[in-house]
Amino acid sequence: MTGTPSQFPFEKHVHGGCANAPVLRESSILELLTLGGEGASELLIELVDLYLEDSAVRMAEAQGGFQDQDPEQVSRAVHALKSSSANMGAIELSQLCANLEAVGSGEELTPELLAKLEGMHAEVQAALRELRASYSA
Amino acid sequence: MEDTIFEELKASGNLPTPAGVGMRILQLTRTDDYELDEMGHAIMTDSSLTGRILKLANSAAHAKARPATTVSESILRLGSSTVRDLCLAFSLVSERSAGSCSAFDYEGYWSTSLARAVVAQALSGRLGIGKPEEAYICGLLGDVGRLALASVFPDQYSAILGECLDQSPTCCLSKEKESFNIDHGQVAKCILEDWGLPESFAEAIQQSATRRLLEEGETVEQSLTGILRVAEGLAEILAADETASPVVWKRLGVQFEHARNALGMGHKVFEAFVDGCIGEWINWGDSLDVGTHPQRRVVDLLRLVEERGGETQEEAKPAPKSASTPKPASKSAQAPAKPRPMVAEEEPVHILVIDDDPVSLKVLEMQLKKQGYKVTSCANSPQGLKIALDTCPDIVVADWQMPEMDGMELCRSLRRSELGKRMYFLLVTGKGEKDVIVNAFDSGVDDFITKPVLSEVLSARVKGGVRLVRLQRRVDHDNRIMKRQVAELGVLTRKLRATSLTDPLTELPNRRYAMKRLESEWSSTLRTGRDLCLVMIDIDHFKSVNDDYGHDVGDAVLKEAARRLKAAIRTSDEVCRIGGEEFLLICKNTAEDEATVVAERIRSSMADERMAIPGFDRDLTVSLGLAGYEPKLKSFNQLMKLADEALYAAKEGGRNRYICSADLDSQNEAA
Repeated sequence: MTGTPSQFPFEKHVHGGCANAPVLRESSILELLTLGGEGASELLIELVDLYLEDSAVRMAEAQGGFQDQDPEQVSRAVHALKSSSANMGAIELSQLCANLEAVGSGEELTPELLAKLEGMHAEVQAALRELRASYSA
Repeated sequence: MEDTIFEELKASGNLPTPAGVGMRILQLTRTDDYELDEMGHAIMTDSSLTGRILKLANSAAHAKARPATTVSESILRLGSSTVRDLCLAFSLVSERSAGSCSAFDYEGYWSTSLARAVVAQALSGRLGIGKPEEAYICGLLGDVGRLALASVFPDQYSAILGECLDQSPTCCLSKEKESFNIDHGQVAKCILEDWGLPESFAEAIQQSATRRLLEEGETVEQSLTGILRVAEGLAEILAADETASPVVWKRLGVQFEHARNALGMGHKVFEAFVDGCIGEWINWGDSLDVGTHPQRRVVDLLRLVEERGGETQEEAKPAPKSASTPKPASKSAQAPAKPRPMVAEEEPVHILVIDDDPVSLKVLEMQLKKQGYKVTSCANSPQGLKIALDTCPDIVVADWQMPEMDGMELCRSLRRSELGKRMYFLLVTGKGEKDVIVNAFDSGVDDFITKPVLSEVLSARVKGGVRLVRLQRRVDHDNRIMKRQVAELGVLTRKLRATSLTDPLTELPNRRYAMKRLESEWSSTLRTGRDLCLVMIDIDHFKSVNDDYGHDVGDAVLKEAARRLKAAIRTSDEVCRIGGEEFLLICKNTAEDEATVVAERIRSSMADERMAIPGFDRDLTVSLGLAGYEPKLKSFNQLMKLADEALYAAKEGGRNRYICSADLDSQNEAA
């Protein structure tokens, strides 16, 4: 499936949540598609699958860390999530992960923070699933 | 002579050596006063080695005794020196890696050596000659000379092997002497002596190398040499390739029969014996991971001899050196051997990417593949380390933060190995880690790149590494050429030196060599207290030969005399031409009275048979003077003088005889 990026039907799928802030940054997805070259859609699907699988594991770890009020466990869990989210264009989520990495004490691990993390992650997952669907056709 | 040549082989650094535990044990036991406990402990650190020692301690020869279950018991049962020698031999087998000589069949070599070990052990037990374990060791190490020559001179040895294809191994001997001034029998002897194995082993191995194949009607010598010769013939048969040419199979069939005759066994008994050996061989092959032919028994071998040996050359299928049909297959034959990969300059650069985040890993992989590199990826750092050491990538790109082993630790581990030192290491770091980056360079990292990794930046950093890789490859290539040239130079130098130390007419070592050798033997004697005996030999009335028959005949006489001298001495003796018609025989580890046996042999070999030289119708005799080392002597010159005096006495006494210096002394005292 070759062609100029404007032919790719993803724009409508990456906008979610707040109307001004897309969940997935266009340029990142574009980069991934360019990287894939001839097999652009295959690569994208592969990456989305990898992300969905891996991020679920990291999130579970992070949730555990919140429960145990263990900042180190949270930090470890979100470190990888930070990089992979950035790769997939989920910049806000990546930023949140960066902040969480720096958390020093257990008290800062509030339920509100966890909710924010889970919420953002859920949004990213949804956006990616939609993206994937449009390329699997 | 061979000692100096051997020293140079050692200097090449390419001789096979026991490694790992074997090396430790070699160092531990260099002198005779080592602690048995220490050796035992060293063995126990290696479970496979322990297993093999135990296996041998419990072999058929010791079947009646209670089974040995510990290393100490094995040492008691086998003897400490035998256990020591076994460790060396086993470690040589287990540390083997693919070698650099293209025509040398390494797997076949070890397969045959193991067969030889097993057969020799069985023969020793059956015939009651020597200790079975000692025969085992000699069998296993018997051909180490050829392995050594192939390792030190891979290209030249390939050529020699090509010329001797399908022939028995003795064919190589003269070619080796031509090319390297030393043959594999001598090399084997030197190596074994170097490792401190008993001289009797070394000599037996050298003997069997030079007189390998049994002749028709020969019986087995009641010695280690005899056993080895029979074992050699049988081992070759056991390990032979189905695809070997008819010439080979015919020869093997003949060898089989000669062996049976030499042992005086009937057909059934012999076949049962060989089948027993095959069983042992397969067993040991599994234990040592050496290939055997597990499906073949004596009946199959005999059938092959019939069928393949009977084929004519036209019918014969071509036998490629690297056979595609089943060769003795060892388990590790599937795993690639681990020599340093010699990558051509033009080959694509190989990059290994390690990151535990699968998305980042995939993205990096794609970025690099797009830039035209060959990429391997791994999501687990300990595994990444293993892959790096196995496949030797040119460049490693690794994330810093990884569970189990972080990027810097990975780099440090990598740099600890020779292979790992040569890889270009690129560390991927997060934005906040820039301050700590200084540490990265201490751990051996070459460069770093921060996340998010932009393709252009990655490309630039990698290109820096590629430049180094290309340079490295060119250096490797030049090094290889230089090594080859140095080796060739070494051969030339040796040839030159040999010429300056050799008498051209008789090809015996000359006076210069004799003096050097004497000096070295003298210090050895002073140091170890071992005997040393000199025999001065002079051809009687030689001047008149030249006068009456001319110098051509005189030269022919000298050559023949030299030949007879060489034939009459023992392997540990050395005879040199030190004058016109004067020779010096150096007998190490020999006392004066022992040397008289050799002296008499020489005397009679000259006197009893007239030399068959056209135009020469005279009987020739020699006079000999013997002098053995005595503590009262202060220098080897004094020893020479005594031998000279004894020679003079022999001449005065009527020639064609030998006189011992000790007898002279008593005569003088009596007078």
